[in-house]
Amino acid sequence: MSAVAGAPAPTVVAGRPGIAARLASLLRQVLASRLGLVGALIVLAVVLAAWLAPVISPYDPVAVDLELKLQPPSLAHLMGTDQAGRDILSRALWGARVSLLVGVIAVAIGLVGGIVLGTLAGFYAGTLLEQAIMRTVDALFSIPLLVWAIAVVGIVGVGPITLGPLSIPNEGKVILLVGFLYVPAIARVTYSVVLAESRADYVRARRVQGANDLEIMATEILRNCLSPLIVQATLFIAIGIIVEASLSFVGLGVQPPKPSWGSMLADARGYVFSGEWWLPVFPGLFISFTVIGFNLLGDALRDVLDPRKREAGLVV
Amino acid sequence: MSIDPLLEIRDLRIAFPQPPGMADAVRGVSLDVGPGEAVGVVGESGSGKTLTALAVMRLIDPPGRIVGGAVRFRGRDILALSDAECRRMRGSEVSMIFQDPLTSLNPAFTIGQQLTDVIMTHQHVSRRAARARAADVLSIVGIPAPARRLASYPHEFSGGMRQRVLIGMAVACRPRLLIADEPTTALDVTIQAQVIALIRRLRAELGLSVLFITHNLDLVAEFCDRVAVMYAGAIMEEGPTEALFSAARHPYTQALLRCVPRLGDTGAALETIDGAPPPLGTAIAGCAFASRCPIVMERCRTEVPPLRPVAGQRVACWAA
Amino acid sequence: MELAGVRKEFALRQGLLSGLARAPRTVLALNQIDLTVEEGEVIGLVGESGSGKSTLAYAMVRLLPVTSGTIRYRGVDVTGQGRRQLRSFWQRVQIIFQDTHSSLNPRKTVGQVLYDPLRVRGVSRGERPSESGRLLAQVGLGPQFLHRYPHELSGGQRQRVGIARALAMTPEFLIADEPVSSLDVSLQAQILNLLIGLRSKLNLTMLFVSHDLTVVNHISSRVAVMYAGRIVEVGRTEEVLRAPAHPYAQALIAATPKGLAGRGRVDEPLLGDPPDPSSPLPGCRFAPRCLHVMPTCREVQPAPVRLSATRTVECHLFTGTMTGASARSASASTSNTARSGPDRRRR
Repeated sequence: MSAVAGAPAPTVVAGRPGIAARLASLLRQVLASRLGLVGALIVLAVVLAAWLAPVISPYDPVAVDLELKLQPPSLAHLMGTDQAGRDILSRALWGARVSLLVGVIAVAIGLVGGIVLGTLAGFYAGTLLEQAIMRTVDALFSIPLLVWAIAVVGIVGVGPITLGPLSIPNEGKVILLVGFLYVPAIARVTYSVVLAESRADYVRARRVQGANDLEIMATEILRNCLSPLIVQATLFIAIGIIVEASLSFVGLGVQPPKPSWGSMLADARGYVFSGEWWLPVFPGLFISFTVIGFNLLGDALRDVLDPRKREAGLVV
Repeated sequence: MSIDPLLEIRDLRIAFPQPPGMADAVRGVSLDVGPGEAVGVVGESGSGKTLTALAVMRLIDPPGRIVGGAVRFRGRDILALSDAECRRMRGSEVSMIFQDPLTSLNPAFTIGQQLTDVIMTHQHVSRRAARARAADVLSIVGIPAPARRLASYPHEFSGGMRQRVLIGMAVACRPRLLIADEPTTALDVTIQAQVIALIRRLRAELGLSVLFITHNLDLVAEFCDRVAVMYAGAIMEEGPTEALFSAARHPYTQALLRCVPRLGDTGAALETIDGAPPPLGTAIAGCAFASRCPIVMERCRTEVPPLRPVAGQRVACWAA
Repeated sequence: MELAGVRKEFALRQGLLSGLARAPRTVLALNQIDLTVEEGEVIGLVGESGSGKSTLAYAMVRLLPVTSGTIRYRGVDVTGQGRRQLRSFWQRVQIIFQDTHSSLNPRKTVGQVLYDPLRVRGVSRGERPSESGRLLAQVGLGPQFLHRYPHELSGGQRQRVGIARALAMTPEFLIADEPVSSLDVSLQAQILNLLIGLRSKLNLTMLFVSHDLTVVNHISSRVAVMYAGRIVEVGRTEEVLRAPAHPYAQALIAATPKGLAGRGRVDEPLLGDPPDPSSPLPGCRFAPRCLHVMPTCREVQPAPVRLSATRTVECHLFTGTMTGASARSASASTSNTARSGPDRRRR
């Protein structure tokens, strides 16, 4: 992978380098590698596209105009129109919102659940608690993500989740399912770090100062997990995007007429060989680039945060 | 020594890449080991003592490299040997034992298998003969019930016994030279005494020469005939043990001897050497010890003092 | 501090199924330890692997619960106290660790490491920087180290930070678990001098655990030799090292390299391996390796025997040669002794 050009030593100024300074240093190092730069730019572009979709979409993504159906890319419609006359570019931009939303929230759920379980299991290693948690994690780990998602949504059915006055659209189900299955992977990563660090002498030193278990977990151990978790989270966002697209492709994700890259691909199924290439190509490109972008960023982060490079001075 | 030395190291230089260039880890080490001699190499961390030993065995891992000097064993140039010739040499003429007996043995094989492997590699005998020889080796190093223990795995032995097994593996093919890199550092004191007694006995029985690397000054004083003191990749002083310890000439040796606690001490504060040894590979101009030397002169900072004979010892110091 | 009859058993980890089948195997790490530490003295604790010396150190600082026995500090029984109650205990008794790599959190700066105990002590936020600067100065480090991370420090510097952290709790009794074992020779001397200096400056009482007799001899006035979870000999350092009574102590001293003085003498080394704590045998644990072993040694555990006011041995060679009754023991160290100890041995 990309070699990080000799990372700069931290400047030891009057005060301890604060969080902002360390993040800036992290960013600098990631951007120093070519592929990391590319990944970061792609991710930035996708995030901006999603965020600004309402502002920069040339058209309403759900506006149907059969007069304009199946138009090839032109100045008016940069990516052409689909079989219902909807502008593909606009739909793609709005689709980015869904993809990112699913990716990020699912990872967030996975992080919360995984960190809690992994920390408890690692800290209390040797007890029944650890066995219970880790065996459950092992069992969950064996469930294939996509199959699981398809099965559950297939059984539960598509349609919004209603909790009293709140109505969460189908994507909510996808987010919950994917987040649920991220928990074991995150738990494992956290567990291995916590297991090693819990035995360290500095934990004993805190105990002899009177700290209780919770304090120790929160103030000593967690910070050691950040590096591997950042890398893992970034890569999982990419996976979440693919899962969302896959579910929407088979009709179990985002429901029409809301745009999603997956459902756009599904719509384009009939037109792959009949000449209207812009229907499948553009959504496909969006998915590919976004996933590649997150993967590159994740790889670059992994290289930069490699604990063996700690001598270079970066401490996150 | 009037007899031809068994091992001659001349101006050995080892370096490894450290951007932007190369860093010197060993800076021109010259040392002899005669037949039947026990030569000790003492130094703190970063002194390059282990690297020097690895160089004799041609075991320097890349990207580290031998970048200068010569190593001759029984007259043959070690550095010019092919890989195949090196392999033949290792284990049969020169052997090495390391600090950690746990990681020096493969946990997946019985020690019988590991021993017979060594024996069969260097002596062309049948497996059965090799196994018999292996049992012999175990009894030589003092492992009880040797034939039965051949079937044991490394983790079934204690640390001291493992080190004995390793010594056995090292001398199984009757090498002339045994290089011991901190063989007892990880062992308890009483076990250390056992291992040292074993090495003494093997020296007497096999006429073995020993290159003994350690940071334990007292151990070297008891066990070795000659001692070389290394610091930051260079030999500071070298000579017969009694002379060196009773009348050290190099300021580093003197300071080192003064800061080691002894059993006869009274409890007064130990003398210390200010600062810390430089990490391996630091670029140093002039004498490596100049920055910490109590009698440093201007010359020491710019010119590297050569290792010169002084009253029966060799000393690398402008003041000697 | 007084320990009486302290025992410590560790249960061995077992798989889920075999643990249900039979009672767990235990490892007896500490076997009836009696020890008294006088105020102001430096006592050394020597032993090899499996002797239980680190376990004893951790038990004394209440990092480990003991299975039975009592530990009293200044008369107060702290054996069963919980974390909250031990808060004040830990402001008096602290520990420094052996491994400089794991004794500091790699993701915390030195300043953060020192702030933790200061916060516990109640030092206000505003005073923390100056107080931690003062602590660093006490161990010979400048204030610029506050912002450094452990990987930017050398082993010796890390150990100094560990000492500063322990001192931050203003202890009067410092337990040092092999603090110099992982350091180079020249650094060992520096840290030893530092500890000796701190001891006299702050009037500390110290327990110094080590496997290295030369170090213990240098710094302690009394020494306790441990073997297989028991203290086999206790006495003034000069006495024990010059004329050890227990065969193991003799072997230990004989095996310690003595430099030039040791040349030419080839003592028979002690045979056998260190004891396996998980399979305790009846009788004296040293019997399998002892040169003077007698039949009773293998059956009956020797009880401590008072050889003199300051010397105690556990060995059948001496059973039955008890010197006369209560000799008042005077503390062997030089500095102030607040109280003279009462009769310290059970017999």
